[in-house]
Amino acid sequence: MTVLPKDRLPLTTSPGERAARRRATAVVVVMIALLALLLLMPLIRAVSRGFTHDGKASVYWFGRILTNQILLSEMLNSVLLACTTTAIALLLAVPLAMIRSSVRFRGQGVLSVLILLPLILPPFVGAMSMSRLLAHYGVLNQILARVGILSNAAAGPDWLGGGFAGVAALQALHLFPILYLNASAALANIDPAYAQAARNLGAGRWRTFRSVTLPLMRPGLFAGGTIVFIWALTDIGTPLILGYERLTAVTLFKELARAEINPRTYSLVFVMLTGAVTLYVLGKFVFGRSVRLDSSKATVAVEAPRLGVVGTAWAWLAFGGVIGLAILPHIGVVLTAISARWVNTILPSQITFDHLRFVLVRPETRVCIMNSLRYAGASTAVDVVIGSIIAWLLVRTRARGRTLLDSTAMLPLAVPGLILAAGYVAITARGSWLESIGPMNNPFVILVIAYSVRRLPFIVRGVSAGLEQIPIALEEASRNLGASRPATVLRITLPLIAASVLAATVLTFSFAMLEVSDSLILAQTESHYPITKEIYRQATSGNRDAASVAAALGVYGMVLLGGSMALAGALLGRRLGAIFRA
Amino acid sequence: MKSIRIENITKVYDLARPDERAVDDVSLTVAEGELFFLLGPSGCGKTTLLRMIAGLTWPTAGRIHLGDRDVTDVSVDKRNTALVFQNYALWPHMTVAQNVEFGPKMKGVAAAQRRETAGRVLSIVQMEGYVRRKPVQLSGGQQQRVALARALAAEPDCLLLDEPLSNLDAKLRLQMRSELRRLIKSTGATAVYVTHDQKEAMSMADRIAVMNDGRIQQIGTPRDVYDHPGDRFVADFLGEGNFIEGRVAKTGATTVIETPAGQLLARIDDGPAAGATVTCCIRPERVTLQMGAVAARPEAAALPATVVGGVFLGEMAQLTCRLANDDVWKVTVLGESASAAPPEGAAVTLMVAGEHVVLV
Repeated sequence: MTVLPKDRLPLTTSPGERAARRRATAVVVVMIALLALLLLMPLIRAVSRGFTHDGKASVYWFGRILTNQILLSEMLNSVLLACTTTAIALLLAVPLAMIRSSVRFRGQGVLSVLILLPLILPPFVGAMSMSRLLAHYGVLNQILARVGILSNAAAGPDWLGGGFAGVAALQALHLFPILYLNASAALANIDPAYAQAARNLGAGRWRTFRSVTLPLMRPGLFAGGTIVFIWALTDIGTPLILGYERLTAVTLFKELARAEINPRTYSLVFVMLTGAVTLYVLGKFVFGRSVRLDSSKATVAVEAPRLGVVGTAWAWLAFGGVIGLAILPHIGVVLTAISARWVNTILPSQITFDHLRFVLVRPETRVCIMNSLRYAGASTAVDVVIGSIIAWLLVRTRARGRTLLDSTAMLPLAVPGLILAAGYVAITARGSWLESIGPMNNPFVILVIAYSVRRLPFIVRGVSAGLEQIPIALEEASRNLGASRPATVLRITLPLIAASVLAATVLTFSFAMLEVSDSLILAQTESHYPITKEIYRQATSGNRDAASVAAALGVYGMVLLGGSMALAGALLGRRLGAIFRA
Repeated sequence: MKSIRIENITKVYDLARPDERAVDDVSLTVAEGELFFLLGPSGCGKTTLLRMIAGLTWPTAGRIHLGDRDVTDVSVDKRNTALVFQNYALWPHMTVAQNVEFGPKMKGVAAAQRRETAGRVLSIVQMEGYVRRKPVQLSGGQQQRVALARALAAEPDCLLLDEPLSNLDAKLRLQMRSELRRLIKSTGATAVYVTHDQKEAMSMADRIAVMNDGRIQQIGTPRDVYDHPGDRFVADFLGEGNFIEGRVAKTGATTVIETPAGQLLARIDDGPAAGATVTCCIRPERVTLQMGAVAARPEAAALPATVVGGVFLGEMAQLTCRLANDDVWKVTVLGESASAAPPEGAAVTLMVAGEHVVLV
């Protein structure tokens, strides 16, 4: 055994590698600092305002919340709503994931792409047609009257049930694909040998599912479940459009739109933020921690039975039923947009394309479309650059501080848009030196920052997934044959991840075009409204023509998102799901 | 093509645990044009050593020379080695031609000349008809050839191969052994070849370094290391062996060794002194089996034994025999006698010729 030199530390990496690592570490530090500035500083500012009274640190405002019956009952409502939404989404997602993992049938590939459709269609757009479909004189009651179940449409109930049920149903139908993707991924990672062993020892199908499969899926379900819960807890678009306003999120939205903001509002922000982050941490690190599996790969072959004609029909019915239910509101929006006359009938009695044409020529809506294109374009550019760099640092370098960077970049998943928007409102409050970029003036900068920060995890996930797909040997082979580091990135790495980057870019852009929370709160002057704010304004104006204008804008939004999704799906194939996974 | 000289190379991955050495004080020289094998079980450090020659891993101590040039501090892209990766690492977004031309391109070779080089090496590996294909359109064996062509096109100072046949199915792997050796020898390349398959090493190598636990146990030609294993590990790793301890009773032209199972004879040039304790290694196929009790001959020892089990494998039979001291030996019976191998319980004599006893 040679004696290793004692006077100087022996080296495990080459001087070139060490220099590269130092450079990468420096970039990691810059990235963390940037994220801290754009994400953490506004939050800290907002929270600290809630704990300041008469210029001193105080829990005065916090105490005011705890003694306010209305605020407390709204909080209870919000939690109940989030619980209901999550439960419905679980009930929809888990059986579908089980079907998908245990049998094979024709058209499975098509359905597994279509099931993402509800996720991309914004629920608040769909919400616009909910009352049309489900109210007293709504389409559902018209149909029931037609087939003779009701004597006449007016005799039917108001299916929206005062709003709560409608909001929960709409949110669940929008969000269940997140749980479906997580459940599918979890199931795919469970060695079928575990279930086979249970069956072999005499457990029935149901017993095996309950005692073996479900506990092994738990981490995946928890991770997805917390995201759904936080989303439902802080969603403002759906409840606002449906007019169900006894929720903390809606109160926050209304308070934040004021020119002078009561510190109590920021204290409320603190409560929401704490709740969301706590849940996220619990979901990810405590309950979501995976059971230590001996192997995450299949050690035994499992023969998924191929369904016959009848079985396939049932599977299509299950998937198709849920997907159909989820996009029904959106079909309603399309019908609203093209209806000239739709009163007391199942389908519109007169069709027109005037609304669709009108929104493209009307100056007010044109301004909004241009605004959204600018906001979304700029934020997507920021995301692609920063997100790609972060993904590269995480996957392909040995820089120090990568774990911290990873958690910071994923933090926007835990911080709801509503809360983040409150942070930007706080730092641009009247009298602060950033007032000129605040919501009451030109919100371009803060909207771009808000959109970018919110969608950063998407790009990081998308590009990381692409990078992880590339065996490191492909890059080593290039270096070995004489290519420098930059030449290797340019000739080998970039071409191989181009599809992932492009898909993530397209989706990021579309989601930014239809972002709700930040758009509603951070744009308060008409000339700077993005599309979503204009839809909200028209949809809630109570004017029938305005509703058609809102619906027409919604149709364009859906077309944009549907097209982006199709493009991303074509680029990524089966890997598309990775972007949405918790 | 250049020779490779490795001096006292040590690799420690975790400096907090300096005693866990992936490679421990390895020195060896590979001559110009030699096909040199690094053979050992998984985790023995052979791939780490190969990657250090390529410059993809950095040695903790020691020097590496390619020809007269000390390349220890030279980065991977300036070393001019060419590595054939275990999974080939063909770039999926490039055609066969683009893959093969990559090395010359990085050296700044003009397009026309690149194409010529690529055509030449692709015809060596008989893949000239596939230049426009993408790697996914090729079979495993074809990918393997393209990977070799890509390495050769770079005109490297030495060719490095990391288990290049391990991803092929068993039959193709056998075919490719002689073919790959022929290809490499025809280019005159200095080549280092890593494998854990002892048959691959035995059938292809000019010389073999047998590695275990980060260290080199023995270096020699395939015949050397098989017939004269330096220690028990090498003997065991390169085929099967029967081992028995004994004491040297008499030295001379034939060394007499007293063992608990009986007397063994060994023809060793400068063996240990009388009275020394030694371990003898006898390969199963070197033992001759005779029915009943047979007396020892001057050139061969005779050990009485009982057959306790056997496996008939067609062209041979593998028997297990219990010796007088209850040790169990493996005995291989080849050819026709395999079918006529003695049944379980039969009393036999194991004849062991002096030249087949190796002291390890």
